[in-house]
Amino acid sequence: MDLLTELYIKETTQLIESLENKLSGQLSPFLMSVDDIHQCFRNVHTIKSSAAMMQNETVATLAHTLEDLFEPMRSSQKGHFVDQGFAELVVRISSWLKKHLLPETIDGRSTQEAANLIQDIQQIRMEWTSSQQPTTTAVIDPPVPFANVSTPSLNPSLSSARTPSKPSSKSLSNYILVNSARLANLIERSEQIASACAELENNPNAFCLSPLSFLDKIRQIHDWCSQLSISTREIQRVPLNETVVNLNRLADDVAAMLGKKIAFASTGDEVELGSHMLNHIADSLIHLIRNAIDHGIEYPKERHQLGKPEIGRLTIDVRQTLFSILISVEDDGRGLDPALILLKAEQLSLLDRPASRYLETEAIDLVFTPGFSTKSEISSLSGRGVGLDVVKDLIQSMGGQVRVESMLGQGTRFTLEIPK
Amino acid sequence: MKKVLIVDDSAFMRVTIRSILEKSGYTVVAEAENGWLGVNRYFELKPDIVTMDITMPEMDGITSLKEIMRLNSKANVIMLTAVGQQHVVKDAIVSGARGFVVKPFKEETFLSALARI
Repeated sequence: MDLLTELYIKETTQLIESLENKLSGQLSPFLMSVDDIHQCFRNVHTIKSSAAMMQNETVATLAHTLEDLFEPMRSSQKGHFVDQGFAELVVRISSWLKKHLLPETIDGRSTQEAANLIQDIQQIRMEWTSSQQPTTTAVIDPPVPFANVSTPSLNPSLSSARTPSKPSSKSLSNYILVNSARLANLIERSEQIASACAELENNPNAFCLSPLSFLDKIRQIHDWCSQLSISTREIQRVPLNETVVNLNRLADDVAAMLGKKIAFASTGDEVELGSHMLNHIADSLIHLIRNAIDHGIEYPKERHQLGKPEIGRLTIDVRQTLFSILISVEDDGRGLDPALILLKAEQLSLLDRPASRYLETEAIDLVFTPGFSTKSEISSLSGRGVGLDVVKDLIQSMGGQVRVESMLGQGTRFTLEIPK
Repeated sequence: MKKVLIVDDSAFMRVTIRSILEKSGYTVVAEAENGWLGVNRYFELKPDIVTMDITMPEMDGITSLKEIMRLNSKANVIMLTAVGQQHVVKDAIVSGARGFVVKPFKEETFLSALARI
């Protein structure tokens, strides 16, 4: 047996056994947890894919039908009740699968056995649908043998066999990238604390320690705890510079797409942000950069006629004060025209008083009004329709604010102020 | 010599893909068994191409694709989808995937999808 086949058998058997373990030995209806459901689904899904790659169509089809049974359970938030009948069936299927992983084990008899198992699955599915399990709404189709889908084109007859559901997903905002040296430091600190506490606990003479030396030990532990707390917070901090480098490439892409020429510069302090903040800010910065290049910076010809250098300047500046971090996106383009903004806002009925009563700075602030930028931005960047109003909301939700300054004909600067 | 990152929760798939890639002159710089590790590896190694499975623990393929595209709007990510995941294909394309291959796939199909990037 070659290595690949061995790996297939080994891994697939493990997946089957894990499935069995989750469901065997149950004597009465029990609640499958959300995690268990997802794991079972993934296991069956992988069994299906691997079997198909090994050209064992019978196993792949059986696994696919079983997958269909788990699929509607995935959308439940609190887990799903399953009964003994279901558990027994899955165990029976698992045991059959283990014996028939290799294509050569499939003969007329085993194909019939597989077909029977598939029927049993269909039976349970029908029972679930008719007993108003909230998640099952799919039409049950007879399973299509995998032989029909050996080409990359997607087989439409299978698509009706399940309703689309969101795959279990966690966004990166729940995870952070961690500097490994900091993590090592954290672990060392935690271990020091743990062993100092253990020492005190296990030391039969601890009670005989003089009050001073006992207090010393406690103080030492307390110190370590404070350091731990500070280090843990620091672990979340990510230097902003790396993101800015990516923004540079993004800006170049956007400029090329729009036929503009830009020179990107980043200035200011080396600042670290909590990585949660960074994720929130990233979208805003992307939008501001896009705006600057799209609406701000003029086309090279226009710039030439205006006596400006053909290459527009886009600068990202990052600074920190005692209490906040200031990030600004500045361009040397057209600038915002208060008169034009007031005109547009008036047409869109966004003014709360006559246009003449607006100061220039107030007029410029109107760009943040929801509904002001009505152009539907077809963004190939993030695909998200982030408008300036959304940017403002996002930053305000972090306790910060967004400001805009502009000189007509000279340029615009948006500044994000984020509290530390 | 193009550098590839393989992201898939099945060791069998990773080994299969690796052997196809290495036979055709690609260099596999890393493997990751879930999307979260995959994004981390991408951040560290900046491979030329990523092959990304859809169904994975910790972080699925679409979410990982989106995060990688945020790190690098020029990233080349190929999605490996299984039959019955048509609804996911549209998400993948909208989010910036450069191609997709349906499992089970033949070696030639996989390689030509890669070559098209």
